Amino acid sequence: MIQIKHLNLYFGTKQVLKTIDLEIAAHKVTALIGPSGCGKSTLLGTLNRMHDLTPDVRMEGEIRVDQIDVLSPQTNVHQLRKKVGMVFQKPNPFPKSIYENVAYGLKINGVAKGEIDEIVEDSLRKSYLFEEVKDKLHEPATRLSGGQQQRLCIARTIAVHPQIILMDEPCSALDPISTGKIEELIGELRKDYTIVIVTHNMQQAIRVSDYTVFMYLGEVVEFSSTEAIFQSPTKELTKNYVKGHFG
Amino acid sequence: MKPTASRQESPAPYLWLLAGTLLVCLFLFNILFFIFYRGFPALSFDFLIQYPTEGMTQGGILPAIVGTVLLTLMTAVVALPFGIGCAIYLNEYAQDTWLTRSIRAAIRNLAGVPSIIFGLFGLALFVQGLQFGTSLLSAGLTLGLLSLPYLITTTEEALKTVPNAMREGALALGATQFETIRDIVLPQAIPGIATGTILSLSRAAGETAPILFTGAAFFITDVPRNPKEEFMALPYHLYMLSTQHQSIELVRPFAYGTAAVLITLVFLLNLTAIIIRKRYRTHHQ
Repeated sequence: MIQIKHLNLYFGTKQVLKTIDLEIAAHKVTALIGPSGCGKSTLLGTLNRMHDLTPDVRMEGEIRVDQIDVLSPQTNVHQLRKKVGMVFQKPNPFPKSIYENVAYGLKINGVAKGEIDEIVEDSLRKSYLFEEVKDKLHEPATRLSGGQQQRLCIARTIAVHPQIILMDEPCSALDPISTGKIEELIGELRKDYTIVIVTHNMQQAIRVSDYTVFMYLGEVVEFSSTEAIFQSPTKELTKNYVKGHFG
Repeated sequence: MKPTASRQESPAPYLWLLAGTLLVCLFLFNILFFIFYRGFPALSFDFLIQYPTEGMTQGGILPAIVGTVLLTLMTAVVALPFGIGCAIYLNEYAQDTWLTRSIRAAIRNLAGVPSIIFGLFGLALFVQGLQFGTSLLSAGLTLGLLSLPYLITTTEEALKTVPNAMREGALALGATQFETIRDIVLPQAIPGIATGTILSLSRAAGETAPILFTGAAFFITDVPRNPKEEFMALPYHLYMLSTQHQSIELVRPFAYGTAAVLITLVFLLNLTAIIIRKRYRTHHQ
């Protein structure tokens, strides 16, 4: 699904990602773990070209998503981002109504007006949010709780029918109950989407992911099934990290 | 640990700040009271809707009111598209290079240029250079230039208050940068932009020096019918009544009346800004 070959990334003169080679499987959940500053969020952002916004970024290597050459300047970045959706660390609903939040991506993609209502409802159902908000679809999204806002952001993302969903520590700003709901949702979404999730929380990686990538200082140290990474890591560094010796 | 006397909050700073605030208010109310008190004999409904007669010792100031309103509209037409456009470019598109840094420095310096210099510039460029003559058009263009730095700065501040997470959210859905600005950024910045716009326009409405050579007339018997005509304006009328008239003592109440009307107009403009901001705030939260 996603192939990363010899990826190097520099912010100015500082190298943040070092020769990353990864193959991420379709319809699986892949977790990126590692201590702060190891480059896991940076790596995530390369997959939908979010770094286009940052000045002084330079990348080498190749990323392919479904045969799309992600890093090529010829690639239509807007088409790419429709295919590769993203959920951010802090819930960031637009200051519009709940309905408008989900409908926005559809409107800019030229989805016919008649179909929007149905897709909005469907996306909210898939995000386990519909029952909670069905009577207040036209109220401001900012009135929802943090966990509801994050599920709304997931609904907004899946409304445009992506194939891949990137999640950048989606639960780090949420309480344990909201976190549980999002994790449950991720379990459900893996049937239809390929998910790459950055997480600080190793328990969360164990609960939600099929594969785990352990990164340290901009390099991939170990990439294996989640079970293997946590039960029988081959590298000493991985073992120390998952046992909680540093990080 | 026992709190010692030195850890008690001293009332001195508070009293000092309070005294400063009261002093400012005192001066403001003093000025307002004086103007309205002295202008009161001249103020009437007829004063607002009549043309000046008998060498401006009788009648009203209708042409000056209409002139100032039209001039402010002209200023808005000139300043808004360029000012807001420039702010959007600087805040949303421009990278941090020496070019944008020098544009910002130029804007800051432009804000400090005395308004009479804008008047001279308008005379040279619009009145003579572009042959617009002394007219509503020339004066509007000049005041438009004068308003630009304030408008750009306040609009940029308003755009800065929109969190980056909003832009990222829209872009991650596949929105183009233009769509992101149009649908997500601008609607959130509108209250700030509207406030900045109105404050810079109300400042422009009270300017005398920039319109002195570019279009304001001493006395005209009619309101302007097209942008190439000269016009009367409240601040210039006030200046003229208080220093240039042949019988200054006789028209003094008219001068204060004109001042009262000008202040009221500016106050109404500022009130509009407050209302817009309030309505948007309740609407969006």
